[in-house]
Amino acid sequence: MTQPPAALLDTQALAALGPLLSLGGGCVLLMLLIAARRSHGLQACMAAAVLLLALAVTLAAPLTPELTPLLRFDAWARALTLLFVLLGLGLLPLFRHWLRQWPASLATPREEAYLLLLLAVFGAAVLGGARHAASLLLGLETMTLALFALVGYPRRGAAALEATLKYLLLSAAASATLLLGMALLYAATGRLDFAGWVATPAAEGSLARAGGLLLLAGLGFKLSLVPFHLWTPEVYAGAPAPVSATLSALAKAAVVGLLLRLAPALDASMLAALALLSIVGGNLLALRSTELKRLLAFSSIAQLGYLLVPLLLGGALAGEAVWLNLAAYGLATLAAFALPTLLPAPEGGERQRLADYRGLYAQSPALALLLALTLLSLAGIPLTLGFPAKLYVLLAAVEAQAWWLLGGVLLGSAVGLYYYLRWTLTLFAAPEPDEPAPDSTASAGSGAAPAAGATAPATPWGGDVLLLLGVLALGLLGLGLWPQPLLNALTGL
Amino acid sequence: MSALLPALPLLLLLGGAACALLARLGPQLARWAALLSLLLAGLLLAALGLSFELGALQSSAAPGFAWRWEMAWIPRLGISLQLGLDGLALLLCGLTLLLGLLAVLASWGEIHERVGLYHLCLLWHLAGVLGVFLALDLFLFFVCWEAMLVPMALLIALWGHRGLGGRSPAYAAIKFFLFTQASGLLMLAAFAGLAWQHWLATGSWSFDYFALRELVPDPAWGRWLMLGLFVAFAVKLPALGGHAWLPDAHSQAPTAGSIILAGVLLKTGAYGLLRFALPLFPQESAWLAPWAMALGVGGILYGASLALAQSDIKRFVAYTSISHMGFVLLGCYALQASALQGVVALLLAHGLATGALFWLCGALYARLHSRDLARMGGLAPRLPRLASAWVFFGLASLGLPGLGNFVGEILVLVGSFAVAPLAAVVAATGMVLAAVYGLRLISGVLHGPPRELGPADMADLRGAEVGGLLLLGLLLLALGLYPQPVFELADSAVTQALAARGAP
Repeated sequence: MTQPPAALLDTQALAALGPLLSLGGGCVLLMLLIAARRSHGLQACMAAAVLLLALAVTLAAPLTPELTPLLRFDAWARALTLLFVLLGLGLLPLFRHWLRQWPASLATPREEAYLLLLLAVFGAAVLGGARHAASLLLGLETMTLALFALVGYPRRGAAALEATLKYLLLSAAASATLLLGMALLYAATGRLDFAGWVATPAAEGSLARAGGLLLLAGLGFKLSLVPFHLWTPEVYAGAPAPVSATLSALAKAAVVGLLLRLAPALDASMLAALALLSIVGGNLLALRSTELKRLLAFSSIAQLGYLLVPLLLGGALAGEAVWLNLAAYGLATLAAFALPTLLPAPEGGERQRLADYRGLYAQSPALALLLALTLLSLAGIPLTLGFPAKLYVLLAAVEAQAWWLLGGVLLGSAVGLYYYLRWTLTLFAAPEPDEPAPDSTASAGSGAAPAAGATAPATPWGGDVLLLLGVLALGLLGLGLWPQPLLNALTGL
Repeated sequence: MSALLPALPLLLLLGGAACALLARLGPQLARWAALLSLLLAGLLLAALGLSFELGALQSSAAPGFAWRWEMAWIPRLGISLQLGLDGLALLLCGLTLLLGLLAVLASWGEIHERVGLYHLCLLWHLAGVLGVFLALDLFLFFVCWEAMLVPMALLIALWGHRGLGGRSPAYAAIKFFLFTQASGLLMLAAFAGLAWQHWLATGSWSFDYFALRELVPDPAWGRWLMLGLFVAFAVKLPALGGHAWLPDAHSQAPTAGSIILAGVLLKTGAYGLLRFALPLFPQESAWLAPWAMALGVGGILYGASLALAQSDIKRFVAYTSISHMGFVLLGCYALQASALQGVVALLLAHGLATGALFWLCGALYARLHSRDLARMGGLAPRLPRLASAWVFFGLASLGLPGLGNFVGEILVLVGSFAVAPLAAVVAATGMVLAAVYGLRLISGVLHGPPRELGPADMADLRGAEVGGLLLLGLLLLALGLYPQPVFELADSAVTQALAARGAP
């Protein structure tokens, strides 16, 4: 630990802390604002303003590799913070649409959801810049606590409460595992900073090895890698769709960022085994799922498996491969969870079942095309962003001559095609003849009203939702057709 | 002129989008828009083809490619948008557009639901096929290879027929998609491996066809990479073992889908072998040749004997396709110029003849509402025009001398006899079987005692149908009587396929 005690922050360090300060300060301001004057529109705008400010500050902040003993702001931290803030901005319209339908009968006020979302982004940003066990834990717990509250936000909903309980108990167990792992690593190396762990090869001494394994298990739970994946489908299905999106996109991206830092300290063969198991297991489990959120849960397990392959292999293309996969995964996850958020099911509630999506193209062509695009991107079909991402994974595996992992990726992708295509075909299929055709003829392109069933009153979409959908479609298709600008930005990382 | 190359697939993409939009005003508009964009693309191709100068470019960096167009795409990985038109690509693109036109015509009376989306899928699929025939960048080739799958899967799933045992068309669509896509992943891995070998050799990634032709891959990996390509193309062809998707997809697709599947899509597999597998891996291909030829002969006999056992006429024709594609595989791996020329002729002839047969199957189904061979018979006096066409294309399919298929098959046999006499002899018995199944197909539908199937006052083929079939028939006849222009056009591609690695 050569770091001098940070007696006073100079201006550069202050500027480098800017992203965290703006996010943290924004959380406090938002809380005060809610206490002073409760207004849904105002608080939504405030959250957006905080995130936009954080975006600007992050872009402007100077790179400072050794900011404090706990934190750093290097190129990775900047890219991760940008990613988290952008994900937060993408989640906001979904949150707003969800909360606008908040029933007045519920005792829970709705404004705090934005505060929790900001807290989750803040926690993720801390994780992105962490270089010490303490900041790791602080960031992880800030994010996870906010997520607990969000999963159980509809307090009267039995499904949401069940999901919260499962997530809470298993997550606490995972955190305990993580802590024990850190303790063992501390016992083995005498250090709590990442550099100390990375400097000690994992194979050296059984203590360090056990510590690394426990650390990996804790992180594997957060990433829901097989065999730590059991909570994922239950929690995703029980939580409101925007919250599932947060869990799937933001929380996992944050942990991937952490893994990027810690990968050299972890057992590579164990990580490879987890990746392989996740790819095969996630895809096999997704085969039979008939609910969109469960499907996305299993598919996210598999996607994380693909993402781990370049991460653990390293090599000339590995860095770009991980970042490209993160971007593709984040975009696709937001787009996929937008559907159940924006489309009410015929019988009310969220549109979940495969059967409910039958013939969506006839009701709402734009949304159906977006979901089809998303599914094809997740499947890695060319002309979508998912394809360059998949190609990079293959190239990284070939480059490292990791034939087992390559075989796993190919096999998993082949299995994945089946369920992605089944869902895609369902979107375009004719509605069941015995069901009355939905009366809505609204085209999503007009944005005036989403397709709605007979019973559920449709909440019209705001301009923010339309903007989000446009950006997602453009990102998935445009960057799929022309990925070079994105690659240029990623190559320097 | 080279700048016009990307316009070929783009015209179809835009035409497809126009179909979807115009269908809101009226379904007929979508049909005319599809027809118009295919005609425009056809004119463009004809213009490019007529300004061809054979032999003028033999010494350049890209021998035989009269027109080339290139634009940077993903320079980080050495990927560019590169299209090239040589004689082989010209022939196959022409076949694609011709059969595309016929497919639109065949859908005119058959498809009445969601006409816009239907033509969008059809045209986008054809755009992907054109891309496959034109692409000279391996990455771009793979993109087009995949891009043609999703629209075709949608065509089968949404407008297809129920199959054996009431299986839904979605079953056939997903089976088709899984087979071709999963094997496509192997191809992608093989391409990635080639690019990696290029990176090891030169320090830069490249997916450029000509750069990779110069490359000598590490012999330890060469065989595996070649096998990845071979599996993908053999499933698409399909060769024996990879054929399970074909009977279901062909028989359950709508008529236009069957025409395109048999006439065009199968050709992409053979094209891949000719353009990529053979020239990129000459030594490895020579190593594989005996096995591939055995697979080809197996396919010939298997397809022919299973065709005899079918009662569904579309499945019948589908199995004959497997038999014909066996000849293609045999000819490709004879690694011999005349056999490869035969392969090209056979590809064109099979596309024309089988496309026409599937069209006639659709016409029969529209009149009889059945595809069951056992319930047909005695149709010749009731539908004289259809009967004549059925006889003509049935005879073409069984390889009657004077028609295109015969030229192709005999050249394949002669060429492969020089290198593998036994395989050629066994394959020749396939031609005997072809005569058996061809005659059964003809007499089963047309001859025998008249049955009560179908309404008493069935209309015979309409004028437009007769015109289209006449065109196909004339082309088959021309190919059978004077195939020399085809051989000249395909010559450069055949020479390149057999050239040793690194040779110009």
